[in-house]
Amino acid sequence: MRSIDQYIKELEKELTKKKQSIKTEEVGRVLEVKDGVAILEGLDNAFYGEIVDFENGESGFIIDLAEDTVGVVVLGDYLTIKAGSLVKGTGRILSLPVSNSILGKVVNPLGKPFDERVKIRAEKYYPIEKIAPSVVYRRPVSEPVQTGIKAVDSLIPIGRGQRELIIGDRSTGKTTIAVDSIINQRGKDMICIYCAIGQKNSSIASVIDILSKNGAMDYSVVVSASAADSVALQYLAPYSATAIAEFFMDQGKDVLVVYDDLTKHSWAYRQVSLVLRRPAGREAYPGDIFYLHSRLLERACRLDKKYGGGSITALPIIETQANDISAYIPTNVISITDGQIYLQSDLFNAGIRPAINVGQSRVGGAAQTPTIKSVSGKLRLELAQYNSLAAFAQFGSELDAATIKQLDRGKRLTEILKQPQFAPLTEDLEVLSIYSVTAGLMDDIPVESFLQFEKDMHDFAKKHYPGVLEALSKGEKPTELILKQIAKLVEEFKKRFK
Amino acid sequence: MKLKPRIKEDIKKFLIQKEKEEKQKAKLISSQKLTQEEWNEIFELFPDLKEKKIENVVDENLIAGVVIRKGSKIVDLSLRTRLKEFKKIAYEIY
Repeated sequence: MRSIDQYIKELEKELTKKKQSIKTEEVGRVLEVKDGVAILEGLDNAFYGEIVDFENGESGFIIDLAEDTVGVVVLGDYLTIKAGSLVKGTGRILSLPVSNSILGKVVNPLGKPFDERVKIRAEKYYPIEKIAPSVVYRRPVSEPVQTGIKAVDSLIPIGRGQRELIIGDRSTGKTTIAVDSIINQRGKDMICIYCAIGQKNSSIASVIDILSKNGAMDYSVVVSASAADSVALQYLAPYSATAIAEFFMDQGKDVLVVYDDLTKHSWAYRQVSLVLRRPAGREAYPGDIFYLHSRLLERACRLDKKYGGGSITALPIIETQANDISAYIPTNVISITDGQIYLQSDLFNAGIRPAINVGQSRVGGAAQTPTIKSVSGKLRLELAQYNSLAAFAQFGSELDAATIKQLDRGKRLTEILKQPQFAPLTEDLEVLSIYSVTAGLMDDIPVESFLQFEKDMHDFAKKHYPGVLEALSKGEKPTELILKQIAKLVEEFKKRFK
Repeated sequence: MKLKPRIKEDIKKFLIQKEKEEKQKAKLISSQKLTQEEWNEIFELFPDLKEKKIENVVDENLIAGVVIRKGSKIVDLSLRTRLKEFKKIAYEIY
């Protein structure tokens, strides 16, 4: 508690600093207040995206400019705004304060931390809406983002600066994949931003809990606009998260942003648009619903070395209904993103977790290190063969030995791609696991004990074969000698395991 | 419905005239009736007010000072607003 003297002194200082100056202000009046939106008159020189201050202390930002009215979404409590009250234009564009002290904080879309005790020093102000860097500023993708998930890193690689959609029904592990990827960035010099849009506060709390338990909050920021927050904040949340990401990218850092999820974001925007009486289109979404997401995801990029060399990788999440990826919003976002991780509920229920549909994989060689590329080619091929055979094999039992062998291999591959929650692996261990199966080294291990076998084998390798793991983590194609050593490692461990 | 061209012209003229008049208007809200000296001071500060048609309103709520409105622009020199700003600063420091 400060003493009164100190308090008065500070007040005096603050008051002497500011000299009375004549400044002309732009004002308008509230005509009507609707759900989270106010319609104003006046404000003749207002511009799109400008912040306005209401008499009751709330602020809003201009989202609609009609012939003689101005539409404003209210950021905060709109119930105390009265018709006829005065509104001042500030001439500022909506921006949020950022500095390195934002790391580890949970903030709302205006950059205000939820914990009132912590303060974020405003080093710079970053505009929430910004045009994405043009082609001149970019360079092609060449470095991967290690998610630590075997199935993703080997079959659906994500490059730094890419947009990879995570799509699937509710509770198929979409958030888990995103959170796993964040946890795996520990010690990798990557800033992570988790943006929660329209979610339950309890789910957001559990994500924060998992992140901090795994020591991931040190390099992460959580931007949260829960289901209880106003739609204006939900609409702004992903743009704010990207603005924070751009602040770090401009320092030359690599950033990973998770938007969880864009389905609810489009709902929020639909509500704002309908209240503003904009013409509704398909499923009552406004006409610019595509631009809403394309302008957001276009801001993910990898800058050229000349411009700092930072990158933003985006992992948007879309929730589907009954696995229908051909609905309106899913198709929109699929067409914007570079690739997608498709999660299926029937796979999830069959115990294949993460429930990634590997049939939908894509070749992203540029976003893989030669190490993992050396095993993923064979893995992809064998899985594809297995998937086409498995459908036929259900009809009859008269199969030749070669087919049975192929089916068996496929089962083992599917098994090795399973992975428990919040246990991301390093690249060397991923390659070790996948190579052990594709090379047939684990053909005599029963499928049921794969999980235990794999875990113990990793511990064994760390203890007795650190040289092999080191060679695998260099990012180079493994030599014949290393492959032989892996075979020796597995054989040796098999004896102990039995 | 079609308007006669003559009426159309008249309406156009009338609206343009009205807009001009609107631009010429300004509103001055003061805490009390202003003396001639005070008027002169205001004209010195805002030379562009001289050519305008000024509507003077007395509003005691301002406590002291004046508020000048020109269209959607406002110059607030009232004590009320100053006190409000002071309140804000006091809150921020506390």
